[in-house]
This record gives sequence, structure tokens and C-alpha cells, in this order.
Amino acid sequence: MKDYDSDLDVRNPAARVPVVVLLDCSGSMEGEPIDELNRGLQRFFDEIRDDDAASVSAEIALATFASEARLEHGFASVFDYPDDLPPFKAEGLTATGAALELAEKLLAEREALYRAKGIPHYKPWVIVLTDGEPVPDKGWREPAERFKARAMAGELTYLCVGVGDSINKETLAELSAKEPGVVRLQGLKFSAFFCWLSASMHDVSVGSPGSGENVRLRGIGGWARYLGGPAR
Amino acid sequence: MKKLTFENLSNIQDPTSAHTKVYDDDGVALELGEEQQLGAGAGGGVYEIANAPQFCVKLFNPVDMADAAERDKIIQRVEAMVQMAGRFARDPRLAWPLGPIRDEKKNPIGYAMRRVPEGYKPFRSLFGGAAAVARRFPEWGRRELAVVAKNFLETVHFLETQGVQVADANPCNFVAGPDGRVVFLDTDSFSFRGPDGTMHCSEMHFPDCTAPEILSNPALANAPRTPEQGRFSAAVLAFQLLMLGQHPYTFEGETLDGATVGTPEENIRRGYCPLGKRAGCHQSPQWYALWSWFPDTLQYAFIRTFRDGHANPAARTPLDVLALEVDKFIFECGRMPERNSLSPAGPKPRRDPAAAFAGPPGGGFRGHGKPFVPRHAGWQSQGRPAYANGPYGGPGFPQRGSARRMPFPSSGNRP
Repeated sequence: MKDYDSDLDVRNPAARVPVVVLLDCSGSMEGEPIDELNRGLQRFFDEIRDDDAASVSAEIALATFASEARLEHGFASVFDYPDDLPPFKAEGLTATGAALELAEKLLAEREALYRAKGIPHYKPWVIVLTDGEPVPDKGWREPAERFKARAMAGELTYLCVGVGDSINKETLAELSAKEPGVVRLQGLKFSAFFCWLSASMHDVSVGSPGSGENVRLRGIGGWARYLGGPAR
Repeated sequence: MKKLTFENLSNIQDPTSAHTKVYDDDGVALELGEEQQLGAGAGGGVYEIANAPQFCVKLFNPVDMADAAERDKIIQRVEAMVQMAGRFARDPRLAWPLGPIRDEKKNPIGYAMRRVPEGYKPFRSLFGGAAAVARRFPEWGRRELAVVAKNFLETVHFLETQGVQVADANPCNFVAGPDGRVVFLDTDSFSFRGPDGTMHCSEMHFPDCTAPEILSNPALANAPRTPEQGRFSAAVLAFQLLMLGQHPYTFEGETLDGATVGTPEENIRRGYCPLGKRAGCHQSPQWYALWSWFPDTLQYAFIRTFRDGHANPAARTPLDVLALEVDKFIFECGRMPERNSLSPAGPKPRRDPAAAFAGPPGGGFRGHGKPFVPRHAGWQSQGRPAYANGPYGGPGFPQRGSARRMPFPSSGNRP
């Protein structure tokens, strides 16, 4: 039974972990990168479906950004997504700022809904996968700073992952939170990244909503190249 | 528990990368199955043994084993449990340590235990409403969940009688099979006194199922756990099993004093439990509907634990008594389809108030003019429930054996 004015399943009393996934679908992702991203994303959803804990807790909102940010699917359980996700195409610019603002809006609305309906929730996650410099080069620093501040305060987990070498380290550093710092994907290891993400959802979901600080996340060495701390 | 940052996580090795072969206490090599991690938690990972599929091994988290004090504590605890294996190892309800597991240098790195049969699902997977239960066990109704709850309570009670307390009542640490039997995992987090008298305490605790006195005073987590604390935790999990995951300390909206709903842990600390009258907060309608179909005595048993027992641990319903109340609910589910439904159409119809005042069937005169009050309601104002004299004693309690034998095993999975 969905709440009449939202799509929140109020018959599921499990604590939710809201996850916003922002995917760069700009023209530079065309070809093998977008194919690998689509495969990795499908695997992510399949693994969450099979996970005893994450399947009842994870609520995922999927947005892509190219010349504009586009909400592909609002917050929903994995079971409300199609079994086979339609593949994303790559074209356009890289509206990172619009994507971050969209994520802010989605999260604010969702957290308010959880409070109103008495549904406990874990710290939200915001994931950004991007391979290029933000275009336009304005309007992205402020929302990035807000996410970084919230992550620093322990209110959410904010992870920005650079893909390829087109995005320079300085920009990535400005986008990234202090933890884990500046990371780039090893090659096109989207599947490994999304495996790590689904395992992390499991690790979060088996804990108590109030103990987010004590969650041990798995090593990122399988998919990430760590480039150092973020910009001060 | 140490908080780990992302940057040093990349240095942590999966234990199996260092140990593809491990050894039992006799030096016999055990080959870990490739990519056969059966489970993982903060304390370590559980792996299949390729040449002994009926067993599995738990390898401790390398981070914990790198700390000398923590490592010694873990090793001593496992050694004590292995010495106690004669009492517990044959119990199919417990994944008890059977023997230490060592690396090639004979350092203890984990322990072996019996593997859980196929088809068992963690309690956590059943805590997502009717849809989650239907995904895991499509044929189940509330009766089957009640059988699991009863088996669970009886097992915790058995451990309590043996001086063992379940310290970490994480719903991922208990699994239920298609036949309603349960198995307790992560037994190395139990709190117990070893054969040499050493008290092995565990600081592990799952906040949403932890007694309020421990949440208020975290130092108590490191102290020996009491049966009353265990009763609280077990009652929370039993409640969640019966209520499809709904936590007894979750409510809708605000409390009467204007507090908003927090996490279950926060609500436990503050004592905001919506069950029973004059609770100060209320359940949402769909959860009230499920709650209303419990027999009154089962409701009272939970209310005693969660409301009376919040500040007064001695008031918490003993687990053998709670198990008997759940047994009664199992019988009622067989009798009334509405009770068995995972999604009842509405709450149980209230009795006609006039009928409640009419006195007992067949006539009954209360010369003092007071209305008839059911016997089971009287214990609310007394120190202990009427049936607390013993499971078969007390007025108004059904005699054992009055429940019809049902096809689904309700007698538990005792050894």
C-alpha cells in the first residue's frame, strides 16, 4: 500500500536508506564507458534485489545529467524498478550543478516524508559518477559545498567518483568530500564499483539507523584509484 | 568499535586473500571454497569449506585481530565456547563454535561451526511488511511467523536457563527455515561464564533491540548481561516477527508532549511506546490493525515488557510465558482466518460495551454493582501477571495440550 500522496510504501516498516545516484551521460561517455555503466547499474539492482537486508531498506533515486539534469526514477524500492533497466545513452554537456541541486531537492522531500510517516531512516547516500568538467562552469560549487559540509557533519555519505582522465584532479577535489577524498575509477570498472556499492548498502542495512557512524565500509581498492585528499 | 575512514579501508585485505587454506586444531587442512563467502559482518566473514560442505568457518576481522588485546579476548572467548561445546554443539538451533581454525603458522584466526541448511532466511529479510514475507516464504501467514517467534523465544529462554545471554540481538543474527525452525548465528557474541568461571562479556549490541538501561548507560554493555535485558531484546524481535517488522517503539505523528518520532533507538531511550492505553503516542492505522488481532493476553505480555518494563526491568514478561502466549496466538490463527492474514482488512471489531457489562455468560452477580472485568485484566494492577506462578498455573490460563496439533510444527526444533 503506497501512501496516497507519495510513493512511499507505508506497509514496509523497515528503516530506509535513501540513495541518490547521479550518472554523467554526457557525450564523452559514449561508447564503451556508457555500456559498462549500464551493465554495472543493472548488476547493482540485481544484487540489491538478492540481498536480504538491503532489498527491504534501500530506496534508490536515479538521475542522469548531460546538458540538463533529468530524474529518471524517483525514490523507490528496487522491486518497483523494471527487472531490466532501460540503457542510458550518452550525449550532450555535463550539467553537474543541476544534478547536485536536483539531488538536494529529492533528499529534502524524502527525509521530510520519512519523518511525517514515522519511517526511520539511515544516513542518505549521494553518489556522483562523472567523467568531465562541469559545463556550465557555474552553479555546481555551492551545492557541492553543501553536500561536503553535510558529509563532514555526519549527516550523509557523499561520494564523487571521477571516470577517465578528462576531469582534472582539481575539479574532482572541489567536488569531493573529505572522506574518502579524491577517487577515480580504475579504468571502466563500473561493475566493481556497483558491487561495492550494493555490498555497502548491505552493510548499512544490517545496522541500526542510529549507529551510522560505526558502519564499517568495505575497501575501495577493488575499483578506485585514490588520488589524495580533497581541496581545502 | 573503531570507526574506519575510506582512505585506510583500501589497505584492508579480505581474509581469504591471505588464507585460501586454513587448518583445524589437528592440523588438517581445510580448503575455503572460491568466492564462497556465506556471510559477512563487523566481526568477520563466514566461508564455505570446499571439502566439508556441512561445516563452515568464521574468520575474524583482520582489523580486530591486529589489536593484541582484542585478539586475546576473542581467542579466549572462542576457546571457552569450544570447551562448552558438549552442552550446546548438538543443539540444531545454535551455530556454536566446534573448534578453532588456524593459519599456516598455527595462529587462531577463527572457528568452525555447523553450516545452516539451505533455505533459511535472516529475520531481517522478513521485516519489510507482507510483501517481504511473501517474497521469502510465499505460503506463510501470521501463524508461521508466530511459530518462528515461539521457537525463537524458547531458544533464548533455554540459553537464559544455561546462564548464556544473547548480547547482540541483530535481526541478521537469527535465521528462520521454511518449517519455522530457527538457528542462532554469531554465537561468539554471546555473554556467558566460561567453564573456569571467567565471565565473557560482549560489548556488541544492536541499539534497536537493546534494553533502555544499556542505551542510557553504555558502560553496562560491557558488564554481564542480565536475563531482564535479554527479555527486552527477545521481546522486541518476537514483536517484529509477529508484526512484519514494525518496531514496538515506532509511532506516527507526534507524542502528546509534542515530541516527533525518532529512530527506534531514540524512542526506546525516551520510552515512547504506542502500545496499550494512555501511551502518549499512537500507531498508524495499518499497524494497529495487525496489533488488534493479537489475543488480549499476548498484548498485555508485550505491554508489560515495553511499558511497565521500560523503567522496571523486573516487570518484563518472562520468555517462557511470552512463548506460551504466542502459542495461544498460533492456535487462534488456525481457528480464525482473519488472525492469520498478513494484510487484514481492518482491526478486530470491538466487543459491544453493553455485553462487557452484562456479566459472565450464564449470569453472574457482582453484588457490589461493579461491572464484570475479565480475570486477565486484573494482573495489570498487580505485581505479577496471574499466570506468573508457572506456565501451567494461574487462573484462566489454557492447559497445555488444549491446542490442536497443526501440520506446521509448533513444538519447536529442540534437539
